[in-house]
Amino acid sequence: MRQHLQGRHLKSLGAVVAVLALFATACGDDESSSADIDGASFNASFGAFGTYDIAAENAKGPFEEATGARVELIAEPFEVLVQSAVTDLATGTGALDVITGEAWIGAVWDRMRPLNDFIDRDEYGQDAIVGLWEKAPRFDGKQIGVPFTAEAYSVLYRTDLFEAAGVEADWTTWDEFMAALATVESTLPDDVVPLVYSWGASDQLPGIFFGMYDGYHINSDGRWAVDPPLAEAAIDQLVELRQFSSSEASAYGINEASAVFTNGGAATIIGWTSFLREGAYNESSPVFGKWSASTFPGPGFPFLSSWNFFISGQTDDEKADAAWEWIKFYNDPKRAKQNFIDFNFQAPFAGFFEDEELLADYANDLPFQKENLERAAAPAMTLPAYLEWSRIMGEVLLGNLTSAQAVAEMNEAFADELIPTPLIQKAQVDGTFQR
Amino acid sequence: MVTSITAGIRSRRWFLSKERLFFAACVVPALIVVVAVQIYPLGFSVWIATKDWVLTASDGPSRSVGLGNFRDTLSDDTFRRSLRNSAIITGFSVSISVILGTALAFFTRAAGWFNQLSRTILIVPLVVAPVAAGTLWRIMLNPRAGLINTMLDRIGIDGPIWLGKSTEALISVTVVEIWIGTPFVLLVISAALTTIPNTLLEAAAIDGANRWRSFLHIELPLITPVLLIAVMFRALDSLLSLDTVFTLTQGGPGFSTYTLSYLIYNTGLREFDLGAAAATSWIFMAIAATLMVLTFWLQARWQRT
Repeated sequence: MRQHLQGRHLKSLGAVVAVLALFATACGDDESSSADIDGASFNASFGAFGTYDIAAENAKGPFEEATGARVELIAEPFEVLVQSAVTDLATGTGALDVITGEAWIGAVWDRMRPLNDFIDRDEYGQDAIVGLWEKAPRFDGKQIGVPFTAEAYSVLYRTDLFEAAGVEADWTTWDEFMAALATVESTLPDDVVPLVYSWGASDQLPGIFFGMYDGYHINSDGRWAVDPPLAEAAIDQLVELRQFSSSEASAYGINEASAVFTNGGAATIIGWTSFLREGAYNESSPVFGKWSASTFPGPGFPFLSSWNFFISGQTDDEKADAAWEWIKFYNDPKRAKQNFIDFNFQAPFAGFFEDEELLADYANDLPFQKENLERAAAPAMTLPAYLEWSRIMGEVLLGNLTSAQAVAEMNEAFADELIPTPLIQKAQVDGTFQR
Repeated sequence: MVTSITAGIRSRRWFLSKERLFFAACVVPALIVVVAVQIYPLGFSVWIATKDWVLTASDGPSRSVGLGNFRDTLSDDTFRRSLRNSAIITGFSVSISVILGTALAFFTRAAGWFNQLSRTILIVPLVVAPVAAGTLWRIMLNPRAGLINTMLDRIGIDGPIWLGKSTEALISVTVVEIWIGTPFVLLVISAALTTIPNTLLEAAAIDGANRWRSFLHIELPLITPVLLIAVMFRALDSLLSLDTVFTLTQGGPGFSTYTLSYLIYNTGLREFDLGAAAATSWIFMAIAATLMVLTFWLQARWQRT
């Protein structure tokens, strides 16, 4: 009898534990409600970068377990990812449900599903970085994209070398930054250059150009164009900045430039911090504990790299509900923090940049990222248009064009080309449309 | 009359014969596949080459522009520069790889383990994926820590900034193309050389011809038709090559290594300007076809003489 009672009690206890476990699963801090989307099936595409896609693979199991929905992950290299998204959306094939991308697929943003109902219902994005959320992808005033990464082009400098030279890293303009470089240069060891940059990766050049240029990108006729006097001045400044790097840097890509900085070969670097962290935060690096990020000089904006989740306009309501839950699940603050630790990509939330645990390790980096992200932007351009401008800037650095000729070519390159409406709208929101 | 009727019946019988049906059953599926995957897309590309069709703007061609896309392409500065770059890369890489491949085939012709091993090692680049080759060479051409400049430095030469300057970048792409292409020529010419009877070379030796004269007056004329085919394949391969430029320079610096293949890729799969990309592809195809016709003509002419 006693044994029987014990057995009954154990069974009751087991039932209570099971109910509590189910309740805990349903109410888990980063889990979504599974009631509505149980059994739904959709796909989600990611760049096969070994970061976002692996993070998605890690999230897939817990998501499916928590919600009962099924997500098929599609990982593709960058170029293929863009091509797949554009062709799928442009042709209305409807092969993709959740699409990840940036402004490079802006030409087909009008084929995305508006997310305002989801965002309003779940009061989503309240913690997003001020300035960044406002620049999230929109079409006809409706938000169609939700950022899941955020990184701004940065200027990093060697604190020890600047201290030795008695120079404060308090620049706000490129002239001030170059003045600081000129002062530091005279105190540097022979094997250290004032600046290292991926001058050989022509697609990076606009990262600095847009920081130096404070004019329109789309003129009042709706064509990609730049304000000649401002653009010429910016290109001249770009050429001037080039003088602070070694001649070898003409062939450097991002990785090579990052390696030079983390090996102690440069006093400053301009670029993506994510490419540097692995080396610069490594105790064996000569720059470990001797570097910091800084305010990105103006008057232009720091270049923004922000990957967004979109839901295809072809996706039906049931799949869209499930897709939205996936977006929230992937973007959950705790998961985002873990993704940063594991894969080194920053979340677009203010809370992420104020996390005390992260700040303890990344104090010389994350606060400046947040500050720069608040005024960062991505140009309202398609990838080919952007690359065309990049190459023209590259021709200037090769000495084949003057700044005036380059600006003329930039304005002529797309004089006959109509810009997709979503990108015009983006430029209007970003303030880069000619008034 | 009777003869023609009989012939007609015989022909009709043959047409319906089992043998004929069997052949048809074998050929028709292959024919359908060829039409579906080659003829139809080619025909379709001719059609869209005359249309204004940017995929991001509409899911179908919007209007007919006649030869407008061809005119625009031919008058485009980037096209002209790409054409020039392609001609330089292909011209130099094919010439050098043919000379080098033939020489290597000649020197490793003899039997023996050393020559066999040499041939095997020399053929290795042929099995390296062009994407991997481009990446590998990008690392080797790094001006600061790359193998090439380190080696040049050891012998007192200040290595150039290979991928950072226009001419040097063009040379770099050409060198990689030579590296990739030479083993193919070596392989083909080695095979051709083995078909030459030893008796011819022995007779020449008896007549007092040295090894060089034997090669110049006996072997080279005999392998020339094969050599021309190798030239054609190498030229087409080099013209079509996208991987090398994509991984090594991305067409840069500036437009310095922009090639026709890269231009077509960029126009079609980045800009999604399908009309312009189709027109450029057809111009490209015309150039490639001219090259093929020229090769076959030279081959026929050589065989006649």
